[in-house]
Amino acid sequence: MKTKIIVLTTALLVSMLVAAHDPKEHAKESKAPDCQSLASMDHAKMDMDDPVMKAMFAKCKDAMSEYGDGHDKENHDMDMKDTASVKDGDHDGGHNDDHGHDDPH
Amino acid sequence: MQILKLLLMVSVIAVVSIFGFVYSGLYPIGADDSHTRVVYWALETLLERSVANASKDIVVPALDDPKLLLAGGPDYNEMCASCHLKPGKSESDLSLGLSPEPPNLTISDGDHGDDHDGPEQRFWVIKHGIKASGMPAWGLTHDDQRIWAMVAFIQKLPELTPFQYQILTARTSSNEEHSH
Ligand code: HEC
Repeated sequence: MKTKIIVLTTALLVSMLVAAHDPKEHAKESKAPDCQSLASMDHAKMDMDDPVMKAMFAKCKDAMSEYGDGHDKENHDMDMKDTASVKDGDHDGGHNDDHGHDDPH
Repeated sequence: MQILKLLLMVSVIAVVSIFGFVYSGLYPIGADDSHTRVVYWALETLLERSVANASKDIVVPALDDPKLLLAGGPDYNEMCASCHLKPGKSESDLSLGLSPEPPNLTISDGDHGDDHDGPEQRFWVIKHGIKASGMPAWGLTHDDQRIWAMVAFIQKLPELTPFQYQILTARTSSNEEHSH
């Protein structure tokens, strides 16, 4: 009886561990929108009536004004820094255009 | 009289064997073992008919407001993409491991997209979930407005490139989750 309880408890604990590791997809969830690439695209070719385009520009306008506030990091642990300043070893694949930050504007 | 007796016997035998089968443990319940054609057809039809019936009175609001896409995007990415995938990703642990398998919502299924893919059906499925499948009922924890936003987003999802998807689904502090 006792061993059964121990075995069951262990099984339960192990399964909880597994559950805690499982949503690995979530690791990538809080990343700043890649607005720099949007800005560098050819706007003339875009259909500005497309709701998807409108939504993208709205999102990026928001994101920019957020960075514009100046006091960034304090209580944003969400990687909300200016997309242009990719420093502190944060080259984790969010920016797929590599020339983005070594290009002196 | 004779016939009646016979019918009675047959139905008793049928009932007994159904219960016998259920108790026998012979049914292969593993998710990695696919259904037979007949069972698959029966379940699929049951699902389609049930959802169509349950969602027939739902009134679909306007879904092409960019705000809806912005609200639905991060929610989709966090709650649904692990099963239903995202642009540039064709499989995940959950998309492969579940049975019934979660449909890949990044491709539009043109062939049978006519009746069970309407926004009202999608709304209903997201809100109520599907019994004995991996699809949860999100309506217990999310209001209708939020669910419509996800419907709006998944209507657009098949057209999105990975780049567009990334921008639309990134959660910025102006659209942080409020109700969790
Ligand atoms: C754990 C995995 C899982 C998660 C997470 C999940 N789903 Fe599903 N979903 C499923 C499965 C499995 C089905 C198919 C069920 C069936 O066919 O019986 C499904 C079906 C659906 C359908 C019906 C598809 C169709 O057109 O036939 C929609 C729409 C849907 N899910 C949307 C969502 C949304 C939106 C979310 C996030 C809020 C979500 N799902 C989260 C597993 C999941």
